[in-house]
Amino acid sequence: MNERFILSVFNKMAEHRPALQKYLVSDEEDDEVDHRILGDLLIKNFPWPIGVELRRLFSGSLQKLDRGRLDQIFKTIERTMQFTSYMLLSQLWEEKREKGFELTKGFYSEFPRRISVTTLGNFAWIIRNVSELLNRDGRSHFITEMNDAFGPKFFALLDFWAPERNDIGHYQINLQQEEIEKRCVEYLDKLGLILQEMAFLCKYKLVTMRQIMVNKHKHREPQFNHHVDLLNSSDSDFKTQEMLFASFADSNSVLLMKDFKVPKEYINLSPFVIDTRPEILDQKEKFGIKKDVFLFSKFQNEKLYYVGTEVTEKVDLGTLSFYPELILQYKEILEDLSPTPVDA
Amino acid sequence: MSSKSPFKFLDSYTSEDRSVFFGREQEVEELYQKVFNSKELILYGSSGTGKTSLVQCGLASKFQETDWMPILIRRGDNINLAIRNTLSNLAITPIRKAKTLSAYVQSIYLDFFKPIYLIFDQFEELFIFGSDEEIDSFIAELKECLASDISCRFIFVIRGEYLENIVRFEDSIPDFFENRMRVERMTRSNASRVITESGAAFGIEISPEFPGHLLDRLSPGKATIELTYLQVYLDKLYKNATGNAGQKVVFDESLLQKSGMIEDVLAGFLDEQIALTADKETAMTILKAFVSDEGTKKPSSTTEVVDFCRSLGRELREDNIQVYLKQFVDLRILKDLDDMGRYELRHDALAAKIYEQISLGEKELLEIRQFLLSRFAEFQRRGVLLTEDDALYLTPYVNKLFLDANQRTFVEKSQRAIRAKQNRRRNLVLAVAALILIILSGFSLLAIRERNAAQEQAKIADQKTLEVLKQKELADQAKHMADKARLLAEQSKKEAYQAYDVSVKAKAEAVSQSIVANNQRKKAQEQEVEAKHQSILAGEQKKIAEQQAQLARQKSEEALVQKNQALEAKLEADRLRAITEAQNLAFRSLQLKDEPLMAAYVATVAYNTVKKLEGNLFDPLLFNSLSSAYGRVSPVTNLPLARIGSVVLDMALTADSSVSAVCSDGSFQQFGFGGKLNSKTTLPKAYAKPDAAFFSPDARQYITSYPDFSVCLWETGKPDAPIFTCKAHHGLVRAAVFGGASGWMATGGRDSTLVLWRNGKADSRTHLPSRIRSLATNEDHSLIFAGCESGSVYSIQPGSGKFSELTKANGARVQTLHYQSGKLLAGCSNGILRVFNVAEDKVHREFNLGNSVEFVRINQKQDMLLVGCNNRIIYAFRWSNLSLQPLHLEDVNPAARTGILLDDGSLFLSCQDNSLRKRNMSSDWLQSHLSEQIRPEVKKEEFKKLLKAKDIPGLKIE
Repeated sequence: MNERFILSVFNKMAEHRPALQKYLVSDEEDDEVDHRILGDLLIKNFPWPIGVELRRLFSGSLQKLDRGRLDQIFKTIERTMQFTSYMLLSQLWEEKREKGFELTKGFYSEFPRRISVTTLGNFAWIIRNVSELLNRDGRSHFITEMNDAFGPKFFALLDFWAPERNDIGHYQINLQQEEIEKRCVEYLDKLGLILQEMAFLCKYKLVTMRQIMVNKHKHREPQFNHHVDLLNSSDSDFKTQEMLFASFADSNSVLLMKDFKVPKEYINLSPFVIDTRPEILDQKEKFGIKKDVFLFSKFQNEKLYYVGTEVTEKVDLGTLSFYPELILQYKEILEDLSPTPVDA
Repeated sequence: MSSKSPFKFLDSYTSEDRSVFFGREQEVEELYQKVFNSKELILYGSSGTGKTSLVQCGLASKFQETDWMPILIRRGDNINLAIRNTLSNLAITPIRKAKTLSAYVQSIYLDFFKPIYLIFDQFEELFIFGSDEEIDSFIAELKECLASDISCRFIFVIRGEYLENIVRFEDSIPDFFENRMRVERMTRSNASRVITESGAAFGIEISPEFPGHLLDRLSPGKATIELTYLQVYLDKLYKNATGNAGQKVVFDESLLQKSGMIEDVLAGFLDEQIALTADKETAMTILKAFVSDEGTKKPSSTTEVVDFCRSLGRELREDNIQVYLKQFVDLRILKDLDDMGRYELRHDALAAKIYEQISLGEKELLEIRQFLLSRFAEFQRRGVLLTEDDALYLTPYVNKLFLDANQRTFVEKSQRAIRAKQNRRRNLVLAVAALILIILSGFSLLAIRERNAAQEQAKIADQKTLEVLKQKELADQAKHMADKARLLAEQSKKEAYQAYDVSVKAKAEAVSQSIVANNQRKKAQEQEVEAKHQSILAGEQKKIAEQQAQLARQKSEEALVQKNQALEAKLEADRLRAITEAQNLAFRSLQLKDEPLMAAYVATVAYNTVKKLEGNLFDPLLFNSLSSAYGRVSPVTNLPLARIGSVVLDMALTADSSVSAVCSDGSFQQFGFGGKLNSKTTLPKAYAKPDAAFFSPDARQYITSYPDFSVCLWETGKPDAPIFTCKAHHGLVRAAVFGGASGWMATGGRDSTLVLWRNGKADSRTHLPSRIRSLATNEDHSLIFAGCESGSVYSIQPGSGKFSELTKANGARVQTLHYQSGKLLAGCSNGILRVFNVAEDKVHREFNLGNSVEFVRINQKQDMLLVGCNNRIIYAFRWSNLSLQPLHLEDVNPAARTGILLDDGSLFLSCQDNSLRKRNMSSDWLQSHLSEQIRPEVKKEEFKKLLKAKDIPGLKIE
C-alpha cells in the first residue's frame, strides 16, 4: 500500500544523499529490493517529528483505507508543516536578533495573530512569508536547498491542505467509505509530493544537546564535552553520544545541525521544539512531566502549551527546570519580530 | 436465570478492559516511566497481585495503537523455539530460518512498523521447567538482541519467589536487574475503589458500607487484598444478586450474608465446579495434570493428560478426557486450547488449590514416573539403559505406571540387559571355580605320582626279598655242599640260619617303616593342599566383603553429599532472597529524602542484614544508601578538611602517616588525617613556581618540573636545595616515574621524549611517536610504560632506546598509567579504563566510565583501586575481583584533581577549589558512624511503623 509512496520519496532522498542509493539495489540477484527497509530509512532520515508520523502511517494498524489512515495522513502533513514553520521562524529570529534583519509591516501585523493559533493555514502562511522575506533580502535559508525548493509551486502544494482539512478533515463529518478510500489515495500522493520536495532534510541532523561540560586543563585550551542525542531514529530509544569540540553549541536545546560533528552551523529550535527527556525528575512537583520531544502548540495566560510526539495526554510542563527560559524566549520572539517595521 | 458476570473472575485484564481497570493508576504511571528507562524491565511480585493485567491492560492503555505492538511469549516446551514460533506466526514477510533472534524481531518490526514489546509472561516457567542448555541459549540470544539497535523492548513478568534465578542472567548481562519494578498487593483503599467504580461502570448499585464489609471478610485484619479472590468473590456475588431477570443488581449487606462465609473462596469455587462433573474423582485426577511439581500451573495437551492419569493409576480414554476438558473450559477452570494445542489453568491460585489435593502416594508415583521419563528421554537421546539400581528402584511401581509400548520396551530391554549382565557375572564365578578345580586336580596327580613312587619302593623291597631267596638257595646249595661236611660245618650252618633270620626281620622292619613314612608324607601333602584351598577361598571372600563395604561407603558418602548440596542450595536460595529484600530496603532508603535519620536507619538495617547473611558488602547500592544517608545526617562531611591556597600538583601518603602535597606556589605541606597542618615549607625562590610535581612511590623523593622544561629532584623534608637540577626536555614535562633500586628515574612530556636520568644526568633519550602524558614501571623496573596523547601505550626498555606499542585507545589520550601485579591500568580521556595483562600481552578487562579518567591509585593493602573521573565521580574497585560492580561517589563537588585512599576506606581528595577534602569509601565505616548518630533518636517501633506506612518491603528483616 505504501510502496509507491516510499519509493518515490526515497528516490528523491537518494539524490540528496548518494550513500542511500545502494539500498535501491538488491544484495542478491534473485531478490527484490525490500521496500520495508527503504521505509525504515525514510523514517530515520527525516527529523523525528516527521519520521515518527511516517512510522505510524506505515504501521500495521493503518493498512486499511479507512478513517484512521486518513487522519494519520493529515497528522503527518500537519507535523511536517509545523516543524518546517518552526525551522524557518527560528532562523528568522536569529537573523533579526543577531544581524538586524528588518521585517515588513505586513509580516509584523500578521505574525502575532498567526503564531497564536497553530493551524495548517497559519503554518502555510509562516512558511511562505518567512521564505519570501529571506529571498527578498537576498539572504540564504539556513537549509540552502530551501532557496530553490521553496517557491510558488511548493507553496501551492501546501495551500492545498488547509481547505481540505476544514472541509472533510474534522471528525464531526461522516464520510462514506468510498469517499474515504478515494481521499486516502489522493492525499498520500499529495503528501508524497511535499516530502519529495523536502527530501533534502536527510542531509541535516536533528539533535538534542543535553549538556556541555568544560574541560580546561592548565596551560591548555578549553575543550567542550557535548552530550548529544541523535533524534533521527525509528523509535524513541535515542542513542546518547559524547563528543569533544574546541568550541561549543547551545545546551538544553533541540538543534538542527548541518554537520553532526561540527558544532558551529546549526539553528536552535527552542522554544518551538523542546526535549524533556534530559530533565531529572528529582522533585515531587516534577512527577507530572512526561519525557518526550514536544512541539509548541500555543501561548495562553502566560503559559506555554506543547503537543508531544509520542505522549498523547495533556502534560503540564510548568515545572521544567528551563521553563522560565522558554517563557522568556517566547516573549523575546514576540518582541523581536514586532519592532517598528519598514515598508517593503 | 443469572446474566453473564462482568467481573474478570480468574482472567487477566486486557487492553479491551481499559475503561474498567481501576485502582492501579500509580503503578501504571510508574510502569510507563520504567519501560523507557532501559530496553529490558523485570516486573515481579507475588501471585495474585495482577502483574499480567498491569502490563496487558494498564501499560497498553498508555499507548496509541500505532505505537504499541505487544507480543506475549509463553515458554511452551522450549522458550527459544516458542519465541521463534510466535514471531514466525506473526510474520507477514516470511523469515528465513537460521537467522538470529534480532533478525526475527527486526523483520516483524519492518512488517508492522510498530515498536515491539516482547512480554514474557510467567517467566518463572523457564526456571521451573527449563534445562540449563535452554536458559544459557536464551541468555545468549537476549544479549545479542539488547546489543543490537532493533526497535524492541523486553518485559519479563515473574513471580517474586523466582527472582533469585535472575542472577544467572547477570553474568552475561550485568545490568539486567537494574531496571525492575515490584508490584505489591492492592491496598484496601484502592480495592474499595475497584468495587465502587466497577459497580458504577457495570450498573450495579452498591451500598456505602458494602466495600468495607466485603474487604473485612475477604482479608480480615490485613492491609492488602488478594485480587484474585476479590474478582472471584465479586463474580460469585454478581451471580447470587442476579436471580431475577430485569431486576437491578444490588450489592449490599444482605447479599453478603446470603453468600455465606468466604474463608477460602477459591477452594469453595473449585469444589462447587467439580461437583458439576460426572465423576468427581476423575475430574480431580485430570485437573492434577495441570499443576507443576512446584504447585504452579503447567500447560498440558490431551495426550499429556492421558499419560499423567496413567501415572496416577487411572487408565482413561482420550475421548473421555476431552469431555472433561471441554467442561472445565465452560466452567472457567481451564483456558481453551492455545496455539500449541495445550490447555492451562486460569490462574496459579487454582493450581495451588489443586496441588493441595495431590496425596503423598500420588506425588511418589509422579516422581517415579518423572524419573522413568527422564531416563527414557536419555535413552532416546544417548541410548543409555536403566542401571541395576534404577531397575531395583522402579520394579515395585512398573505395573502401576501404565507405560506406553515404547516405554515398556525400554524397561524390558533394560531388564534383559541387567539379566545378561548378571549371567555374565555368574559365568565368571563358574570359570573361577573351574580353575580352582583344575589346580586341585594338579595336586591330586602329584599325590598319585608319590603313590607310584611308594609302589616302586615296594617293588625294590620285593626284589630284595627275591635276592634274599636267591641267597637262601645259594645257602641251601651251600648247605647241600656242606651236608657233606655237615659235621664239620654244623656250627657254621646254625650261624648262617641265624644270620638269615636277622636279615629277614630287618627287611620286614624296613618295608613297614617305608609304608608308614609314605602314608605320613601323603597326609601332609593333602593337608597342605586343603590349607591352600581354604586360604584362597578366604582371600576371595575377604576381597568381596571389602569391595562391598567400599561400595556401601561410597554410596553413603554420595547420598550424604547430595543431601548436603540440596540443603546448601536451599539455604543459599533463602539467603539470596533475603539479600534482595535488604537491597530493596537500601534502595528505599535513598528515596527517603526528607527524613535523613530514618533513611540512615533504613540504610544501616539493610547493611546489617546483608552482613549477617554474609552477602556482598561491596555492594554499590548498600554503599550509596549509607553514603547518601551519612552525607545528610552529617552535612559537615561536605565541608573542606583544609584550605591549601594553591593548586596541589601531587599528593602522597608519607611514612609518618600524614598526607603530603606539593603545590604550585612551591610549598610542601603536610596534613594529619584530621586535616591539621603539621608542617609547611617552601622551595627556594628560584624553584618556587613548578608547573608539575611527581612523588616517588615511597614518597621520600619528588620531582618538580618548570615552564623552562627543567627538572629538579628533591628529598622530602629537605627543601633548601634540590638533589640535582637538569634540563633535557624541549617541551613541558607531563609525567615522571622512579626506578627504585635500579637507580634511575624517567620523565616524559610534550616533546614526545622519554629521558632516563641516572646520577643527576640525562643518561639516554627515547623519542616516541606522540606526546607523553603518563608513565609507569613494572615491579623489577625492567620496563617503562608510556601513555601518549595519541592513545598509544608504549613499552620501553630503560636505556636501550627500544620501544614497542602495547595497546592503543583510539581517539583518546592516555591520561594516567598505573602498574600493579603484572597488570597495567590505563585511564583514558574517553572514559575507558583499560586493564592490560603485560605478560600475556592482551587486554584483561575494560571499563567505560563515561568520562575522562583523571587519576588511578591503589591503597597500601593493595585491595582497593581508586579511579577519579572528570565528571565528579570517584570509583573504588575491588582489585582482587574486578568483575564486582565498583562503589562510586557521585557528588564530589568541586571536582577532585587527585586522591589518596587509605586502607580503612578514608579518601583524601585535592579539589579544584584548592581544598583538601575527606570522604569515606568503606560501607563498614559509614555504617558504624551512622549507627552512633541515629541510635538515640530513632526507635525500632517508629521504624516498623514507617515501614508499614510507606509500604516498604522488609518487615521480616530484623
